[in-house]
Order: sequence, then C-alpha cells, then structure tokens
Amino acid sequence: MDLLQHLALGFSVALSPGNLLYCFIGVLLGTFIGVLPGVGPLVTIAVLLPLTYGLPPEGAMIMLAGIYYGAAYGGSTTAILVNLPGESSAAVTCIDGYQMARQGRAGPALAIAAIGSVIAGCFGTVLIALCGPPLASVALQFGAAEYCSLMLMALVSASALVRGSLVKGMGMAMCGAIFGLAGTDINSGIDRFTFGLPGLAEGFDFVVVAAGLFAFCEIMVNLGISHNRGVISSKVTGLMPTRDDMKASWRPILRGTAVGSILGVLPGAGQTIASFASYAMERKLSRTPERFGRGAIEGVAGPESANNAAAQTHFIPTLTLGIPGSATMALLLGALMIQGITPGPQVMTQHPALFWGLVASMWIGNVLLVILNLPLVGLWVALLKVPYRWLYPVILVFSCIGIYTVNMSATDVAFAAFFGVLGYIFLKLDCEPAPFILGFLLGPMLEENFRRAMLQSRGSLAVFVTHPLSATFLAIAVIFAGLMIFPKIVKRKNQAITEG
Amino acid sequence: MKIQLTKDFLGGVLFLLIGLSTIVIGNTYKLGTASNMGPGYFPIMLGVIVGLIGVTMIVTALRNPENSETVASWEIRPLIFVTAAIVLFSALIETAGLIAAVAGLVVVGRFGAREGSIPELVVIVAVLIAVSVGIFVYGLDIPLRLRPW
Repeated sequence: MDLLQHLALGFSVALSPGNLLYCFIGVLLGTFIGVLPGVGPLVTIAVLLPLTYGLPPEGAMIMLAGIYYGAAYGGSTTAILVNLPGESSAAVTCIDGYQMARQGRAGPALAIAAIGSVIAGCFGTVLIALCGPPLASVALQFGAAEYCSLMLMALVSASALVRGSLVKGMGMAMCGAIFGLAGTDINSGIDRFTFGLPGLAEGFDFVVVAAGLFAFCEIMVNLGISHNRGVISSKVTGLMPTRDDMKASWRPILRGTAVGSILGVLPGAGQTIASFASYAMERKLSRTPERFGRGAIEGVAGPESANNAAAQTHFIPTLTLGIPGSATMALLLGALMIQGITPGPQVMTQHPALFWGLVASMWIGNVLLVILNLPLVGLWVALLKVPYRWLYPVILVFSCIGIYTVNMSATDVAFAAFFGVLGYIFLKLDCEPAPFILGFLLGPMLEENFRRAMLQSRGSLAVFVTHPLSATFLAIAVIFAGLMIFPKIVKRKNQAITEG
Repeated sequence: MKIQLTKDFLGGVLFLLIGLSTIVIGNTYKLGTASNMGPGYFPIMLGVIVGLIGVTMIVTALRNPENSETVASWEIRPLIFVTAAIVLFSALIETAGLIAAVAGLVVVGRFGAREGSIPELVVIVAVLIAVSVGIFVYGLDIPLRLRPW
C-alpha cells in the first residue's frame, strides 16, 4: 500500500515536536486573525511570509497552511456571536448563526459549526491524499501547450469569480502578468522593464507585491472607513447540541462537504461560492424553508462544512499542478519558492516529506482547531474589542521589517509602498487585486511555456487545440467566460460574494 | 457629450495607459517571430490585450454611464500618510537604524487616521520597538542596524 506508506511518512513528519508546534502556532494564529475583522489570512500570510525564510520548508508550509484553514474556521465564531463575518466566506453563517445566538443557542451553533468543519476538513484532506498522486502523474506528462492552457484557464476562472466583471478581472490578471515580467529575461539575458534600477534586475519580489497589494492597501482602505462595531453581549451557555440538532445537521454537513469539495478545486472565490451554494441548497431541500433566516441549524451546518471542505480541496491544484487557485494559494506557492522549491507536480515525488507532512498536519490541525476553539470562545470574543488603531501599526511594522529582511533591500520597501498605492487606486475603481497577484505569479511561467510551445509548433497557434488536454482546458476557460455573459448569473455571483 | 468619470471609465483609462506604456517599452526589445520569440514579443502581446481591455471598458462606460458609479471619495489622507510612513521607513532603516525607522513608521502612519491619544501612541511605539528588536534582532538573529551610530 503506497498510500499507507506515504501517510506514515507524513505523520512522522507532522508529529515531530517542531512541526507540531508550527501547526499549533498556525491554527492558533489563523483562528486569531479569523476572529479579528479587518485582518484576513491573506494579509497575515503576506506579512509572515518573510519570517518563514529561516524555517525548514515543512515547518513553513505547515504553519502557513494552518493559518489559512484556521482562519476559515475562526471567521464563523464572530459570524455567529456578533453577526460579523471575520472572513468573507463566513458571511452566510451570519444569517442563521446569529439568529440562533439571539435565541440563546449560540453554544449549539458554535458546536455544530465546529463539528461540520472538522468532518469537512478531514474529508477534504482525504481527497488531497487520494487525488494528489494520480493528478500529479498526469501533470508530469504535460507539455508546454498543456501548461499554457491550464494557466490560462486558472486566470480566466479566477477573473470570472471575483467581484465585478470578467473584463476587469482579466485586465487585472494581465496587468499582474506584465509586472511579473520585469527583470532579466531568462532566454536572452536582457533587462526588461527595469527602468535602469539595479534593484529590479531580479524583478519585483513576490513578497513586495503581496505585502503592498494586500497588507498596505488594506490598511489605507480600512483607515478611510470609520469603525463602529456592535456591542458584544451574547453569552455562551451550554455548548452541546441536542439530539434533534444532530439529527437535523448530519445530512447538511455531508452535503456541504460534497459541494465544498467540488467547488474548492475550482480556481477563484471557491470558498465563498461554496458556502453560498450550500446554503441555497439546504433551503431548497428543506421541508420547512421558512425557518431559514430565523435560526435554522441547517443554515449553519451546511455552509460551514462547505467552506472548510473548499478550504482544503483548494490545495489540490496548488500542490499537484503548481497552479494557484486564489491569491492566498499564490502566497503559499510564493512561500514554497522562497524555500527554493519549484512548485509543480514534481514536488510530490521530489519532496515527499513536505507534501505528505503537510497533508498529515491538516488532520492534526483540524482536530487541534476543535480542541482549541470551543473552550476558548470567551477569549476570542474578548479579542473583538481590540480597536483597529492598535492593530494596523503592528501590521505596518511587521510588513516593513519583513520585506526589508528578505533581500536586505530598502528599495524593496519603497517598491511595496508603490504597490500599495497602485492597489488602492485599483480598489477605488472596483478592480479586485486578487487576479493581479495570480497574473504576477503565473506571468513569467506563461511566457516561458508559451514561447516553448510556439517554438515546438513552429509558430502555429493550432497546437493549443490539437492537443486534447490543452483543448479541454481551453474549453473550460471558454465556458467560464461564456457563463459570465448572462446577466442573471453575474448578478447571483456578485450577490454571493458581497453579501453571502 | 459630457464624459462621466465613472469607476469603469477611469479603470479603462488606467488599463489603456498600462497597456500603451507596455507596448512602447516592449518595442525597444527585439520582437522576434512567433516561432522564435524575442524578449519583446510576449510583453507586447500582453500590452495589446490590456490596452484592448481598457478600450472596451472606456467604450462601454461611455455608452452606459449609469452602469457604473463615480468614486464616492478618494480618502486621500490615509493614502498619503501610510505611503509616506512606509517610504520614510525605507529611507531610515539603513541610515538611522531600526529603532528610528519603526518610530517614524508608526508616528507618521498615525496621521492617516486621527484617532487615539498621544500617550497611547507613545506606548504603541515603545512596545513595537521592543517587540521588533526582540523578535528580529535577538530571536531571528537578523543583522539589522539598530542605531545611527
């Protein structure tokens, strides 16, 4: 049994004291920032990315992944208790979760969210373990044309699934690709788009762009809006869900897990879409749909499971193909590259300890989350009282020092300020920065593969449609783009992303 | 026809500008052919795509200005002070050292939002200096200059 051997290896890595500690720090930090509104996993990972430089690759990835799925989990706590989604994907949980809390059933709501999350998270991780190796072996046969089409598909679907129009999303992705091209061209050795600046010979560092676009930009945006947080009054009494609660919830949990697992694989806003889809499905399937919005436990169980399943399966394309499905996954790939590991299907065979250690750590992390969360609910609620004016100086300081220490370059910090301004302008014009960072990461790879494919085909574009796999990827991209032509679908998508 | 500066219109202009400058700069590199691309080929291709996206957005925004809103408020204050704070940090970190750079960053950044009292600011600066020196210099052993001398 190959799988068992791999898993044994994985657990031996994940259970080593050091990695256990990183996993613990990761999920704790993830829950922490998931609870804090205004600080998301994206910003946290962007800020901590430079700090992982000194860690071993396994420890770094285990910790960053823990932050990511820990945040998916922490977001639900505030959604239920104070009607504030810590994360956009928890927005749906607010609807019925908060109603349950108002009826004095905050405990069961939190418990069901936790149970659903664990089941979904563990199942999603099983999928990674099962689908990873076969997918990677297929991917190893990919030629330049296949990679090109795959990346194009990822960019199109990620652009289609953000708020706003597909055209804007594609514009952002392509702009990101242009910025990604800055630096020395590997084929000819000449400097492109460096404006004679020696600091740009290697191009913009990934950390610089990520910290600028997400950490700095978000601070500027948040400072522009006043913060009025609702008063927290709900007390949590009696955590255990009743027998009836369990009976009502187990089916939504399983269905949510299934929906989330499938949607999570898709690039783009998988998590948010998944929780929304699960909520809509539960309401449709329910014999008493009128209870939804008034504290139906199914409306918490389903979306929370979907959300966490999607958070896990989001790793599948990232880890097996080296193609990130979202900005957060792009950051995790960036972390791999900082460690000197080239993302792609070969990661699994060349660094089995890393891959299987990460997978095993996800099970441990998911279990840790439950043990950690339910007893600490009171602490998390107290955290909500921390004002933003205490938080943002911390983010500023850690980002600036972090960026500086990657290359010991003061110009890098100034470049990050530039990307902060750029991101701010884009955001004010309703252009989401998420496709930009994907484009930035994929741009150079896209160019390399495009050049190679065209070299092999002697300049004929037909190669992209005559190769069956490549044609499939392109077809999926076209379908995604085509779906966005229908105003009804676009409207529902925007609803799902902005309000939940 | 009166041009309405909607978000979509301005976004289109921004994309068009980025696309055009990419084409102009890309033109200075060798273009090559489709089967043997030079360093200029792919950037120009991207520039053309981004430029076309910009034009599409401008045209649609001019035709249906009601589909997009204007920017309600640019909130220039946080933009300027946060950017200034980061640039100041970048100027100070190698000359005046970490302590001054962190203090400058937090104090200037503070002007981005007019909230909180002076004593609170002093406490935040002191705590952040202590934490960053503790973590980065002593914890992670990164050779950062601490003081100007």
